[in-house]
Amino acid sequence: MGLASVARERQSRVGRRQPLAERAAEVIPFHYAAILPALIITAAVILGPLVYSIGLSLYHFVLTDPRNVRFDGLANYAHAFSDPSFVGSLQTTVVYGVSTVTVEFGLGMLFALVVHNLTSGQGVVRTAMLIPMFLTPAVVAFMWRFLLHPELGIVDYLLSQVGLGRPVWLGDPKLALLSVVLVDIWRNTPFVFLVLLAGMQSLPGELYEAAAVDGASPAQRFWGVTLPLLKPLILVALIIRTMDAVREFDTIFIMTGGGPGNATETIALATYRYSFRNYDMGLGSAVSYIIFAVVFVLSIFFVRQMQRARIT
Amino acid sequence: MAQQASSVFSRRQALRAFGLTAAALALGACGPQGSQPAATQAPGAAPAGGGGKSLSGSTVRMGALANYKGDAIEQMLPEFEKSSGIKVQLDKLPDTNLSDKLTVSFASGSPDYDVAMMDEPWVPGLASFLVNLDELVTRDKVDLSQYVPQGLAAGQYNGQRVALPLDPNVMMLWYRKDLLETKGLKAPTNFNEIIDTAAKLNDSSSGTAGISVSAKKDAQTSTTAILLLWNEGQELITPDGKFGFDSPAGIKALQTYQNVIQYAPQGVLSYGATEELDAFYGGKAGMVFYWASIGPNATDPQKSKAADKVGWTGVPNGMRGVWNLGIAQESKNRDAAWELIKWMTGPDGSRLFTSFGGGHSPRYDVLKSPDFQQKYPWAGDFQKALEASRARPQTPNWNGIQTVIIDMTSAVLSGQQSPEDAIKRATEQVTPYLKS
Repeated sequence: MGLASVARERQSRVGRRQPLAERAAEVIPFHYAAILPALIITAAVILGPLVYSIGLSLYHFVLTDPRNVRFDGLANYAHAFSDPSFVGSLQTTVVYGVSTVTVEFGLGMLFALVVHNLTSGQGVVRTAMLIPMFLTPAVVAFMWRFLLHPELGIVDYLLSQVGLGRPVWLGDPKLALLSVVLVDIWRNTPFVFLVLLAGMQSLPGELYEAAAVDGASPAQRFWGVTLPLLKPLILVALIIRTMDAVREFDTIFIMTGGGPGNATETIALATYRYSFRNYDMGLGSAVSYIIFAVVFVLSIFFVRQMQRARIT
Repeated sequence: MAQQASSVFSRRQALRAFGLTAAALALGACGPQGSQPAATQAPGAAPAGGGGKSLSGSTVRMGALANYKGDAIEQMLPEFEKSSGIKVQLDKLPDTNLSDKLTVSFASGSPDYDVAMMDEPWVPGLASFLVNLDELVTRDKVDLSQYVPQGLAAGQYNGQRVALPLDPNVMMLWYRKDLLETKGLKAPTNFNEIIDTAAKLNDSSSGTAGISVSAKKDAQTSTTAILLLWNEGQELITPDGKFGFDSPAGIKALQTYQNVIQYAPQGVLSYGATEELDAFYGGKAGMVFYWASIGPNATDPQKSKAADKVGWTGVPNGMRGVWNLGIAQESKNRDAAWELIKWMTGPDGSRLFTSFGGGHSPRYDVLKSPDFQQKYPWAGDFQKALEASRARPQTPNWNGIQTVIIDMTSAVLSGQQSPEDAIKRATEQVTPYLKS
């Protein structure tokens, strides 16, 4: 290559008329350029609102009172924790989450074990179990609200026939929380069942044969073989169900609206109340970040457990 | 090596740019958007008192309620479009969605509608985004004496007229004449008599309760609680800005409510507005204290079991609730929007609105017309009840205050808390909304 051609090439590389795309290609490697559009969209759709709402959470900003917008520091966070209804909603969320996830896991495991050991009719049982999962949560909520109606519902009709009266399921504070927990269990146990059943059916048969040869009882086979091998799947089911329970909204909103009083108000409903009933965007954003922190801590716990399960 | 350095540098630049963008967004977030009212725009070139013709061809966007009221508006609009040449794009939305959409889009400075249909409690929150109509009312010589004053008052906030009334509502007593007659009772004329009559009518052996009310976590429950507070002679927000329930009168009001639900159907703790009305229509209760807008259903044999036996009466201090029409400040079609509002709340529009079953009229000339009185036989009682009605406090934080009252009342009625404890907690919760 002659000097002249090298000079020409150099000229073309540093020349002022070099197209923008070419210059960009030189400074941004192709693989970064390829993900750039997705990165920009992600930033705009996820990071943008995230940053925006951090700002909002530091302001007194009630949408219907635009003349009273002011910087309030951490006052919204302090307000949330000093508000008994918010603290109550945190407690309700814990009770709701622990009770639904525990019972769903127990029942899901039990059903999965029974169906796994069925020699015939497995398909029918599996399909029947899936029905609640196919229903829209809002439809489920309306259906149960009607079933539990003290005057028109079949549940109270049957109870009254056997002399148990007509309890006001959704109007009594203790029964209301029990009702929404039971409906969640009815709706979501099939999910846990399905995940665990799929896991059981993929376990290698040799291990069970070896355990049988060693004289292990069915209980020993369950505790010694099934449970340890299913651990990753159990954790997946628990993560999904716990996250769902923390952000549960539609069913409770339709069935009780969080009432009576605040008896069934979870943190998701409290956030809705602050942001979209009271239009208190500042407080609503602060509460959202508190939920974010709760979910974040839970996620770290579960992810660590999963990593340990994989290692062992 | 040099190329590597250049690549790293450009990445840094990209990161810096991204950081700046994020910071700009954050600063944007910190800005009190919508806090500045838009500069008042002078009315358009439309000639006074009938700019309709010069505005022919323009389009007005209107947000309305998606129920029988919205349906009536839809039916009456062709008449307006024909006479004015102005096209109306009607968007019908359910109550909460309409309120959310109006609030968010008006506050963001790009309203979805030129004309907004607003329930009375929404007016203070939206007032700073609405056109002051006083100037237009004067310019076009709108005869305000034709409106029931309580209807007009709903559209006024901080001394400014930001809306005109379309459909006033007031709470009235609806009762079963046959049941009262059987027990030798007269129609009650005040709240204390309503409670006494409920106790006397209540008959568990026949399965007919004295009165149907809401008792679950529902807006209607807070409405009854407020009525009972007023009945104790107490304001909801006192003149010195305190929460009215935080008083002996407040405790008495909630105790009375606990007493009233003893005369309601057995499942009352799960009753919201829908169940409350269903119980009355289904013959399970002898009375219901509810908005006048239920009149057509209560007296319709298709919808109410004892339609021909339903009587009605207004009592003093019934709550008023008025649907209003206002114009967005940022609207680009203010003059056409004003023509629409003027027509809809005027004699022709109001007559059509009521004849299509949209609701009642705020105008004396329509209220007193034979057509209206024939279609709404309770017209006379309605007018009297409206004139003797009481309004909820005008505050942009009404939603926050109402939510606290709903939670408080629901907690007391369901037995979760005593009236004293519930009021103490509610007072703490409501205070921030009373301050600002």
